[in-house]
Amino acid sequence: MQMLNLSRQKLQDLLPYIDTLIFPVGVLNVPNGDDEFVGSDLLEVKQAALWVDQQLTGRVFIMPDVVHTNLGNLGQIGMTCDLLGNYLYETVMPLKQIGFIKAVFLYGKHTNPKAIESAATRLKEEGVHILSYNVHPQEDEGNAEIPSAETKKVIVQKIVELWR
Amino acid sequence: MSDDQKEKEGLSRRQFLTYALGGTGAFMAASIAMPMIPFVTDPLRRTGGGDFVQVGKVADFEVGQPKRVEFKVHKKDGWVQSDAQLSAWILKKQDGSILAMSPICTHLGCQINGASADGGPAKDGEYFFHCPCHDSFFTKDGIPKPGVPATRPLDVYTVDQDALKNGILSIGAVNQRKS
Repeated sequence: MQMLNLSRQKLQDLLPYIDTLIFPVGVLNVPNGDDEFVGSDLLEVKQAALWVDQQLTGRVFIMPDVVHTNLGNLGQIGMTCDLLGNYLYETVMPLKQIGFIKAVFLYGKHTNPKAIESAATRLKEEGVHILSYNVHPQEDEGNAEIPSAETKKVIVQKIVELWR
Repeated sequence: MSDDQKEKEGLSRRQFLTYALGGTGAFMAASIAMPMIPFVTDPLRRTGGGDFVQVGKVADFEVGQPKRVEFKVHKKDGWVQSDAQLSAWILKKQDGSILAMSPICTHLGCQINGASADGGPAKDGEYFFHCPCHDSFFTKDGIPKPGVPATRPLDVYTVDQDALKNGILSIGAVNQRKS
């Protein structure tokens, strides 16, 4: 379910059935020298999230987008890896307290995986079941459709495995 | 004035005014009512019948064995036009009738998967469809297992009976089945 489309009452009714949060994590700006358009990274991530919503809508909440700028080092323009990692960690932890014990980070090729992995590692230590998945892997480069049908299928399979 | 005299003179002034006013009133009422007719009848025309999409030939389906088909439906919403990719599970019954089931779990809307427990053909009474979200099971006819979260059978697409007579399987609107 897309959380932003639900009424307060509907949200309350669904809470007992939903334990998995899907976080689309995407870059808003375009790295230097890249010919992609602004937001393409975020678009790919959101399309993957929408696919998950179509397939598994009854047990997942699609959370609002986690939008960040191109990851830089401290003092440079852009968000640091640590800042994004901490942000994700601090976002998920309070939600774990109210029963959301599973979280999925869907990210694109311009998000530094180190930021995602640092958050995922810390959350796992806290007992949160985490799946992080790059929706634009190297092998899909050049595909007409990204995320590819195969990637979308694998994401759904991995979420179902996370539930077992 | 006798009746013969009335007929000779044609319409009286009173009759003429009555007809003229009545005709004008009827014309005005029709002008108001005519545009409303499509609004009233449109929902009736949409339910049950309507547009059908061809999804295959009847001969392509094996009796008693559900098979998944995918098809596209062109949607137009104002300026936005798109092709939605949809799917259905088709079950050809012994008597030749067709059950075209929606792949959406009737509990909370996840996509169901279909497979026999041993990977072989679907058996009568066996739970063939499974919802990965909350473990609802359905028979190959789409009937839910007692005690699972889903309480309603899988919804069914309307099957075009005229096309069926010619060996073509075309499906239309989705309808709910009762528990």
